[in-house]
Amino acid sequence: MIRPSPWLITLLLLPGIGLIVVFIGAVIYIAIAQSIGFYNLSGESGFTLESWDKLLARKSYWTAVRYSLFIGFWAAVLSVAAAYPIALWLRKPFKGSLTVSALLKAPLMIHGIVAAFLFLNIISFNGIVNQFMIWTGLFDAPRRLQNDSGAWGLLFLQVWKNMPFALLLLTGAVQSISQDTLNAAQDLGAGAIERFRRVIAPLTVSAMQAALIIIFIDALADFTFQTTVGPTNRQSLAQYMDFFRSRGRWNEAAGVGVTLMALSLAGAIVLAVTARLIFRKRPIGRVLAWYEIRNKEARS
Amino acid sequence: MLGLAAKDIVVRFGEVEALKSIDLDVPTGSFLTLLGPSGCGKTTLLNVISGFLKPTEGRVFIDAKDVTEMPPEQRDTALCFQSYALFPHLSVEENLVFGLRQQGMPPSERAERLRDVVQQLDLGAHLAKLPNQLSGGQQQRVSLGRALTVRPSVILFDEPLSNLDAKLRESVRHEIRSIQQKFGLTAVYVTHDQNEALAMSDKIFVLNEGQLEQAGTPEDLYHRPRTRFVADFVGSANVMQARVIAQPDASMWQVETPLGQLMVRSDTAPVADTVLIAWRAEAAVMGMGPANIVTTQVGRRSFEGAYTDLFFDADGETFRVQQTRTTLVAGDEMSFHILPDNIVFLSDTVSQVAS
Repeated sequence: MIRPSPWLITLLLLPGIGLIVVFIGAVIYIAIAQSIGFYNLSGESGFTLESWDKLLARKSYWTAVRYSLFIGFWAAVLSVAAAYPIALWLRKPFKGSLTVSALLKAPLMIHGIVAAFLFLNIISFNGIVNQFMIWTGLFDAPRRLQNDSGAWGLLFLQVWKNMPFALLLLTGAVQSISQDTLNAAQDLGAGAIERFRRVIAPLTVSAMQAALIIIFIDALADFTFQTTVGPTNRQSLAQYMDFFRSRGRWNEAAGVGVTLMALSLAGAIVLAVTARLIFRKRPIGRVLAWYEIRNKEARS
Repeated sequence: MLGLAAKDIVVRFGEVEALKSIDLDVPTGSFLTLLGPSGCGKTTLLNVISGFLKPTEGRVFIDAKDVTEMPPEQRDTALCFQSYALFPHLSVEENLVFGLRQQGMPPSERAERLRDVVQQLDLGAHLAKLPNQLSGGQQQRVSLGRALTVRPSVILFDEPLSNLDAKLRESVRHEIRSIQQKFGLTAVYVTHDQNEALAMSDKIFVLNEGQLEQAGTPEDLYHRPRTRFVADFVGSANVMQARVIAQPDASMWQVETPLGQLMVRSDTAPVADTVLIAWRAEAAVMGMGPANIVTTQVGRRSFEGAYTDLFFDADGETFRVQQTRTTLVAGDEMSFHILPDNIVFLSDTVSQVAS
């Protein structure tokens, strides 16, 4: 086979990768430059870390960081965790499985703000949930469920909205595992959990990583759900950035923006690496141990 | 003692009855083959034994213990799949010890068990490789090794050689048989290949349309088929209609056939006046003999390497004789005889076969 020249490969890739590099590079450059004072939208530009100092000294900044990470992490993990059993259930076609699959993906077609208000109606003071709880006798009187301080409502909404996306990615991956492979694991003594842990998850880890990363980034930067159903005692990073922007404090807003981007990148890497380490760990240690035993025996 | 027993196994899929009251007894340490064409129910029966399919009726026993309600992961069986079903993300070593890890075996014992199997199957050079780095034969050996490491009470094979080329198939089948004998394993082997079944088995169960046609040793099935299906499926015998015209002695019968009058020696009486009889192509002995002499013209010759098939027509039907060395060609006259012991009465009546 004739190997094409590296220059030709570069040239062919340039229209795709070149555009990505230029656009993303420009955004990152402006964001970083602005976060240290250059291209100042509200004053003179200059190299300064003062805005970062001020930002990092704020308690509310760290609260927003922790809160956004909490929402991003749990939204990603819970969405993927909820999608797996459904993907496995829909793995083999059955009567009505196409309809079920289509209905489950319906949230993908509903805009976030619409979903948030729909959810708000359901959990409102005189909404269906309160009425149901009173009917069951678990509540004596209607309770305020909106904007709960534990962010349970927000997490529920995040999972409802993102689970179909995870399902979309995982269904294909799960379907690509042959039934014989799963049967072999079961035949060798693996129960349902072990089959998931040792066969299904490792073989679908790429789809799992993709789902975790995309949902994490989306939920980390959430603004719509947070402002509609999120807790009122804490702000997400997106909300925090908007807080500065609405007051014309562009440097701090840019600082929060860079934090958001850095956390997206770092969080995505951590999630992806962790998922791979947990489910796709290569048994290097064991292989080496085996060779050691074998060599010892050969020597003796 | 029975290593495996299945009693009155019935499997229905809606209106379709895939298995019709099958009884199966496999003594410990023996090699049983389920033989039959595609769709006869052999894999369904294997799935019932391994636990992947619950029978509609009937019970399954392993080492005299009723395992009918037991899920596959709790049964003391190991299955070798047609597709090998190796775990593509695990190395050969990890594949081999998968079952042992599930059993919670300590690492030292695991290593010992692994070493035995690796030596037996000569897999030492491939331990760190992934399945996709192995040839078909090597993958088959890993699949076999993975089943052997757990030392199951019953080892099950679902057409394990069907993806291998003819030469490799022959060597692997000898390997499987010798390992089964070495470890004294109770084995159930599913195949549609009669040569495999005859070469490997202690006992063969021939299945057809969910029913047991005949069970017996390879020699029994080959030399004394009971039905037209078995005669045809195992070794492709010449089957023809025969009318009983006399019984010269207690075990000798004279019949009228498309080849003329023939003598049949049989311990069992024919089931009707007009019956089916079968004889093997290689049972034809060229030249004159004491009885059953047939003189005819060679219609077609087919050289098959180890033997030559000679076809001839009689009464509108085509028959086949087999010779290891022959100079006969199409159009030549040939005379051969068949010993009365080499002709068998089949139990199907002519009307059954016609229907």
